[in-house]
Amino acid sequence: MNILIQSLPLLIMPAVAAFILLIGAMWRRISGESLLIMAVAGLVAALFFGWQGFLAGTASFPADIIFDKIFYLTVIIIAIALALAMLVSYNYLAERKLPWPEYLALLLFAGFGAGLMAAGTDFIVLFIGLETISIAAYVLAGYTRDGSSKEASIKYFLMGAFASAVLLFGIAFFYGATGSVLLSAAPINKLLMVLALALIISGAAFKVAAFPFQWWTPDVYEGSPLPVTAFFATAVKAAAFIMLFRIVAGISGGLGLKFESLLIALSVATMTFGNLAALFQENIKRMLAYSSIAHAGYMLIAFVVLGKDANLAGAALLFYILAYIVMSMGAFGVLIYLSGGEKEFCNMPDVAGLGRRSPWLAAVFGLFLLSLAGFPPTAGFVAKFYLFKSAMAHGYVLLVIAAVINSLISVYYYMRPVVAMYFGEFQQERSLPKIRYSVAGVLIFCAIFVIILGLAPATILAILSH
Amino acid sequence: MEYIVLSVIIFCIGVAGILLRRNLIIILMSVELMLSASNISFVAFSKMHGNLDGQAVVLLLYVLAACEAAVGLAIIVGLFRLKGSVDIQLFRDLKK
Repeated sequence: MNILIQSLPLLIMPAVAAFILLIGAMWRRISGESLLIMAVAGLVAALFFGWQGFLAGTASFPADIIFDKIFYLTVIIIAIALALAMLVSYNYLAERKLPWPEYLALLLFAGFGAGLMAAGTDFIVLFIGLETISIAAYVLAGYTRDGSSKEASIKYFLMGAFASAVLLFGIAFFYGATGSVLLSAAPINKLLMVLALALIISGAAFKVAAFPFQWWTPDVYEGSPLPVTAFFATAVKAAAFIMLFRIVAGISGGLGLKFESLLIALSVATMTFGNLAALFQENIKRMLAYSSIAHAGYMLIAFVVLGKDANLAGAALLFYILAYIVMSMGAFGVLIYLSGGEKEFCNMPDVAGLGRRSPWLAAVFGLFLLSLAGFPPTAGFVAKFYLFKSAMAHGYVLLVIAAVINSLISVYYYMRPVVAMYFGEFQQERSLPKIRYSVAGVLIFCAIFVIILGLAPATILAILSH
Repeated sequence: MEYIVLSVIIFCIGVAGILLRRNLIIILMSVELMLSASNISFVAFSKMHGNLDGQAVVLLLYVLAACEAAVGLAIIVGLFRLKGSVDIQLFRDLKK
C-alpha cells in the first residue's frame, strides 16, 4: 500500500491520459478546454503527490526502480514543464482545429516515460522510459498537416530509432560484460564493457543532442509545430539529461571507471558548435534549436563534476534544467503568441518593431533572451554561475574558461532579436494578433519565475540540494 | 560466441541499410534488423551467463519494437499521402 502511494506521482499521468483518450473517443463533442483542464489537473495532482513523496523521503521498489529525492524533483519539474507546454498550445491547436485528446494523452504518456527514466536503476527500465517518451515525441512532431511537420517527424523517427537501437546494442553488451542489466553491476569482461560503454554513451549523447550526434536537432525543432518544439526543448531534454545522470552516476559508482576527459571534450565541443552555428540564423526557431544544443553543452559540465561530488552536481544540473525550462518555454511562448492564424511567424523580420507595437511582449521576450544569454539578475545567470562555480571548486579551470567564452559569444545572437525589436522597422501589413489569455498566463508565470530564480535562488537551491 | 558474431553482423547490415538505402520502408526494416540483432545477443549472453535475465528482456523488447514499427509505418503512410512516394530524397524541405 505504501509503495502504491509512493509511486502515485508516476502512475497518475498515464491514468489521466487513458481517461482523456477514452472520454475523447466516447464523447466526441467534448470541448478542448475541458480536456485541457483535466490534463492540467492531473499534472497538478502529480506535482502535489511528488512534493509529498519528496518530503517523505526515499522508498525503494522491489524491482529495479528507486523513488529517491532526484526522482521526485524530476517528476515535479517535468509536471511543470508539461503543464506549461499544454497551456501554451491552447490557441495554437484551437486555431488550427487539431484534435485535443490525442495531443494531451501523448504529452501525459511522455511524462510517464520521463518519470521512468528518472526512477530506473536498471538499463531496461531506463530504456522503456526512453522509448515511451520518444514514441510520443515522434507522433507529436508530425501533429499538424503541413509537409515540414511530417518531414520533421520522419527525421526524428529515423534518427531516434537508430539511436535507440545503438543504445540497446550497448545494453546487450553491458549484459554480456556483467551478467546483469543493473546499472551498478560489476564487469567480468573488460573488453566487452568498453564496447558497451562506447555504444551506450553514443546512444545517450544522441538523445541529449551532444556534439557529434546533434545534427538532427535543428531540422526537427524547426519543422515541428511551435508548442511541440517548446515541449522538446524543455521536457524531453530534461528527461534525457536525467537519464544520462542516472547512467553516469550508476556506472561510475559500480566501476570506479572515469571518463572525465571524454565528458569534458563532449561538453566543450557541444557548446562551441551550438553557439557558432546559432550566430547567423535568420529563423528564431532554428536559432533557439542551436541555442538548446549550446545549453546542453553547459549542462554536460555537471557530469564532469559528478565523479567528484554527486550531490553538488545533481543540484547544479536540476537547477540549470529548471531555469532552462522556464526561460526557453517563455521564449517559445512569445513566438507562439505572435503566430496567428495558420502561419508561424519566427523569422527575424517578424519581430522587427515589436518594441513599439506591443511593448509588454517585447519586454518579456527581451527578458527571456537575456536570461538565455546569462545576464544577471535572471535565472540563466544564477544557473550558469552555480554550475561554473561547482566546476571551479573541483579545479576544472580551463573548462570554466571555455564555457565563459562561449557565453560571451552567445550574447551576440541573443541580442539580434532584441535589436530588431527595438530598432527595426515596423511592419504595417500584419496586424497584431488578438490577446491570447492562456499563452499570456504562461508568459507571465515564466517571467516571474525567471526573475525569482534570478533574485532569490536560495530557497530553491536548498530544496534541490536536499 | 558464434551467436555474438552473428548479431554483430546483423547489426552492421542494419546500419548499412539505414545509411545506403533510399526507400523509407527498407530503412524501417533495417532499424528492426538492428533491434533484432540486440535480441540475438541478449539471448546468446543469457546462455553464456546461465541466467534468464536476457531472455526476459527480449520479451519486453519485442513489445517496444512492435510499437516503434507501428508508429514508423504510420508516419510513412502520412508522408506517402503527402507526396505519393516513400523515397527519402523527396523530403528535404528543411534547411540542411
